[in-house]
Amino acid sequence: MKNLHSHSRRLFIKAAGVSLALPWLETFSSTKNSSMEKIRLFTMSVPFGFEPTYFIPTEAGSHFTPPPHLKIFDQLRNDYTVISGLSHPETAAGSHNTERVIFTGAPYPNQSHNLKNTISVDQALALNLRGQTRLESLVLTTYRGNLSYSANGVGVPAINHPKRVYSKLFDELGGSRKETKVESIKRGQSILDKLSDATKLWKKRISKSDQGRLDEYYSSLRDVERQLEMSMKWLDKPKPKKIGKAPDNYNEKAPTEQKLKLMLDMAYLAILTDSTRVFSMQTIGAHHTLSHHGKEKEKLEKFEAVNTKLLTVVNSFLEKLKKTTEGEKSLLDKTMFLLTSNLRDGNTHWTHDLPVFLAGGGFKHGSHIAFNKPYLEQISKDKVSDKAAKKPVKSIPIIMGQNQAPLCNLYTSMLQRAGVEINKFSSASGTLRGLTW
Amino acid sequence: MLKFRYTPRLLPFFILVINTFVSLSGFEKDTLQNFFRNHCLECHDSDTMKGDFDIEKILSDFNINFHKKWARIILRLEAGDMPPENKPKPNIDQKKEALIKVKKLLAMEGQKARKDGRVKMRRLNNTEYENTLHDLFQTEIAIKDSLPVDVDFNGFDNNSNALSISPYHIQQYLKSADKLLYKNIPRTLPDEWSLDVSFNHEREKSFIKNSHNKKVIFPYNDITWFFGETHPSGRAYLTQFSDITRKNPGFYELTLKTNISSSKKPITFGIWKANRKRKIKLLGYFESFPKKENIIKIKEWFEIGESIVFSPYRLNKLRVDRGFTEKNFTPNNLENWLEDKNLRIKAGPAIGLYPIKIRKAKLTSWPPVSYKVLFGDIPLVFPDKQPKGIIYSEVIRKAIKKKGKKYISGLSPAMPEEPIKKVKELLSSFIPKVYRREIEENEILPYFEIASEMLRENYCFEDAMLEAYKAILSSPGFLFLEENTNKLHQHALATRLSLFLWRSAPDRHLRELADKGELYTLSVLDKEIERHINDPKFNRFINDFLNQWLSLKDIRETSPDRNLYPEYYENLSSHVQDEFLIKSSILETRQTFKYILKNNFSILELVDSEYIWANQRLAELYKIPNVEGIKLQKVLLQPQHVRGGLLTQSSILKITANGTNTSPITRGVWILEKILGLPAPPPPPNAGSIEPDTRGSTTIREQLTKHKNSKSCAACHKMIDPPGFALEAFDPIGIYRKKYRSTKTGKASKDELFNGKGYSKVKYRYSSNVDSSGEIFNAIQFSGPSDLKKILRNRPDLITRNLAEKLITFATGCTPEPADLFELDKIVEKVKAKKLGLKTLLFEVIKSPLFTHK
Repeated sequence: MKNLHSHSRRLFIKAAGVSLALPWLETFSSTKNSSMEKIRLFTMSVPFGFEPTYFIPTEAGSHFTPPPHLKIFDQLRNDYTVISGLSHPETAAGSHNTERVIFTGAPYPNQSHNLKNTISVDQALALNLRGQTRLESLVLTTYRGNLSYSANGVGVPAINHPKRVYSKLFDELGGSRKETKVESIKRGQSILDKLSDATKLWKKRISKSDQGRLDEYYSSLRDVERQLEMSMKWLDKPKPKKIGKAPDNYNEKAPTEQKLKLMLDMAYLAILTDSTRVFSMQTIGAHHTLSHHGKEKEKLEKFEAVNTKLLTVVNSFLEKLKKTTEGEKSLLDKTMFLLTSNLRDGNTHWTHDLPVFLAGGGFKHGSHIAFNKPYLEQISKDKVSDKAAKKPVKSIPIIMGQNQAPLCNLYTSMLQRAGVEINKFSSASGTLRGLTW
Repeated sequence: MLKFRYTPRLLPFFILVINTFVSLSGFEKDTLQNFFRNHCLECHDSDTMKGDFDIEKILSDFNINFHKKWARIILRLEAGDMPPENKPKPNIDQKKEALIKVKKLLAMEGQKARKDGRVKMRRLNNTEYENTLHDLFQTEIAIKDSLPVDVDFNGFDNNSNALSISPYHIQQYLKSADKLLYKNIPRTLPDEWSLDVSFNHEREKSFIKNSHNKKVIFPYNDITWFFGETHPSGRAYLTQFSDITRKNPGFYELTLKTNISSSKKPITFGIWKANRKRKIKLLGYFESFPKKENIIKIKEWFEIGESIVFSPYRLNKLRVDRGFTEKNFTPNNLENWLEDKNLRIKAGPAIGLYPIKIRKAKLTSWPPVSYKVLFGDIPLVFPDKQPKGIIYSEVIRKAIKKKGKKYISGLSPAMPEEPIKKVKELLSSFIPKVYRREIEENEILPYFEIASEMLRENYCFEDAMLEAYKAILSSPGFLFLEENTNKLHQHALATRLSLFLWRSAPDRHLRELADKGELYTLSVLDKEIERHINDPKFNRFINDFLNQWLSLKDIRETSPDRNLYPEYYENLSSHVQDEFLIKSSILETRQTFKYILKNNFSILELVDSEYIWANQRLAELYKIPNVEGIKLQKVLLQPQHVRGGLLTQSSILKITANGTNTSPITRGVWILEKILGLPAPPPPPNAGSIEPDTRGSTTIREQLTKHKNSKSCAACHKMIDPPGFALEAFDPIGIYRKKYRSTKTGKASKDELFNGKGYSKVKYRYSSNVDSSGEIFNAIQFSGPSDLKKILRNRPDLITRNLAEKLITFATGCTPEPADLFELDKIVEKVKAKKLGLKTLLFEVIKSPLFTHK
């Protein structure tokens, strides 16, 4: 296994003329301890948040009363932590555009003030685990678009068909003939080789200040080369035996909870077969209009019903992980599952006080970590007044987003939990206070 | 300033571009300092620092690091909202002079700071990559959808800062090239055929036998009659055609003949490209007129398994308006209905679709042009004419088919007599095409090695060459724009020009002009720009530029609330939005821009005009009478109409709302950024927004008064909110309103609306009054949108410079910086001298050093 991590020698020699500043190599020095336990990371985000009175308990600590959305997870009461008062700094007025930075923490995601995205937390771990599993990560969506970003801020294309996930896990691609596969890998390597020759010739034609972009191209070539080499190594290891049957691709118009269930079934198989340890999932319902409920009762109820269905599916996924053991522990104990949203709720489009739900992964769970006490008070008030009032409550604060802790502190803790030596991920100021394992 | 007398034919125009190195004398610097001392430092000195803005400090040391601050100072002075209304206004000439000086200084500093040029090297973005390959191989295979999405930067998706490259790109470039290249080799000999296909066929039973359709569809001989709209679950999807494209994707020509019965008014229908009933692309809306041969032809690329959907538009409404329901039509009593006039009248309006003629589009030459690009004059042969024992890759192997002893499929380029020589020859002709320039001999080498290695391994000539081409199409020479420092070389200029106006690589003619080195000759360049504008490919510029500048691409991002804005739906009960309306809205904006540009009318007509481009559906939304038909037509407005110009178009009003509510902030920011070029600074990190609460009668207007009361908010929001207030006169789908709609409060509405089946009462109520008045630019009052447009008309400098800036951004992949204001202003002056013509602006942008220099 050891030499899986070594870079392609061929390209390394060729690289002499091109500077190779790979930002992540400095940031993510890995531990690569093979005796480490296999910790998985599953990050999931929904686009329209949750109604706070339904999601955030009004008490902090371990003696909280679960609000309706959390009641769904009652069987897992000591397997999850709910965290309130987290957000990414400098995302005010980012609205739906903040979706792109929910797992990266990059500032100013809105169009007018530019975005240079950075690596997402799942991909940071994937880099660290390179070579340990057949697939580096599974980036999934039940809709379109993606939440995962590579080191230079390029979106990682997401898979939106469960059948394709199944095929990645179990199907031997390119038929069973090993020679054909070897041949195609070799041809791929040869092309990359010649492309790096061409790049060197071409390099002379551009100005010094433009070399950075070319380096990016060059290191991308190298990365593809490395992946080919990896596939060559994995050629000798057959894929796991098929479990169950390949699912049908869902109908585009199927309700989100159905799509989500199918995708989570696939994720479960991937965890079970240890095909990858990194997952990210974007899931969305056809309920954008509902999320603009304007606090009107009927709409709000429908909005909550949609979310309840989604969360019920999540709950059965987590319960299934809990019931399955690997070695002496349950798969849930070995899977950090994060559910969050880039908006507090779809009605306000606020990007602070994000809903955060963390399950499994061997953390000490069972409590509500609260950073924004006044927010909890506001929720208590809303619970009473919103039910009673038909008219709007006339207390609209102008300055909001106070008392926030960086969401990236949580990401730092999670990366550390997975064995990554890192002090601060993205906009983090450290690890998340109150979260231990 | 120096002036050249010149004859355009003889002198290249770049000589006329006065160098920006214009140094200021010490005296000039002093007067500049004096101006800011007199007008700004009372509040913005280092002690008072009102609004946290310290002009004294940035004045003491003119430094490029402060360029963003300087830009804000310039913009606010130009907008006229600083100094504030209670302070003395600076003398106009003095202000102008001071601003010019600051811009000059910024330009000088900029030149020092950006020695390697303004624009950083970038790759082709996904659109440019796809267009280039489409043009090269004359195909329309979707390519870019499989690439990682390009990120918007300042609203544009071709910005060099954002166009990163990743392993996913490399993998996908290789994959796409592979897929595309093999598709260019015809496997069978050309054959021409055509086929008439009717919906009255066993293969179409999911459409004919659909339980809803049974009530409205009547197949009569070969003609399919529609007495109503089809159900979304039983769309008229031509399955037989998908059987054909599944085996043989490519260009097809479809001829559709329709006829209508019992209607004096034309009946509209839409045609979509679709896959398994899922609509992929609208091919168009058409009208079928009474007593006429209604024939339309569609030439389109169909991918594997794709077909078309035929769908009557508003046929139900037409029937109900004439007093017919579904019950008037019962298939049993229609035995001879078409021949029987009485029966026809009794059955009511209907549209009949004749068998559709499908023709495999004719090849203009054999082998096709796309083949010749790759293999020149090498003949295509079947395997029996190839050397023995040759290896074929899987794609070719799979295509080889025999009938008896004769090959019927499996064509591939013949092995040339001197393969190695031919490889060199083909590569030398192909590489310059995709590198967009002449090449040096050694640049062929890496690719030559790929091909010759494959030939050594006994692969067929096709596999060897395509493997080399695949590498070329993934190489930096193709993917990156090679732009030299300072004034661009001929080929770099040609590439910029072509990417700008056609969103693709230069064509042969432009390449040749660059080869000859003639592009900097004014008359040649003028002619080229004109040629590009008059080509159909210029539509790519119109569509892509407007998609990004105005965010037109976001028009479908939100779904309007069905209860509040039912007008946006074609069928309320099945939630089907009115695609025809959406399409018409988009076309209105495109047509407006195109019309002004092609006729070189004033840029100000984009803001305010006495006409609009509308069809019947849009006119209905705008409540403008006497416009008929589906074609957009120029409609002259009466004084009482509030429309005219981009701001009051339904597309823009839809984009700037969220479906349920409108926000003066969103719309205000939009006008400042997209029209005036006065972007607001980002909100402070802890700023909130208003929690929408539609239960009661508090209007957004009332809620926004909070901005006025908070000093830190007011500083920016007194600029942002007012233009948005004016547009409050329009709801999220662009209907003019005097009252807000609500589902909760207010007076119930008596309006009735067609819901897809019949008329029913709307569910919205009329609640509080809309107030669309306000003041802008320091106390200029307006009472509504028409007033606001007049005020904006008086700011031609701002509007023109903003548009110039957006065009430069789009054309070069780099947003101009404050240091470029000086050059932008020069463009503005030139355009102003020529009646603000939009086409003039386009020409001046291209001739500006911002375009011709890196």
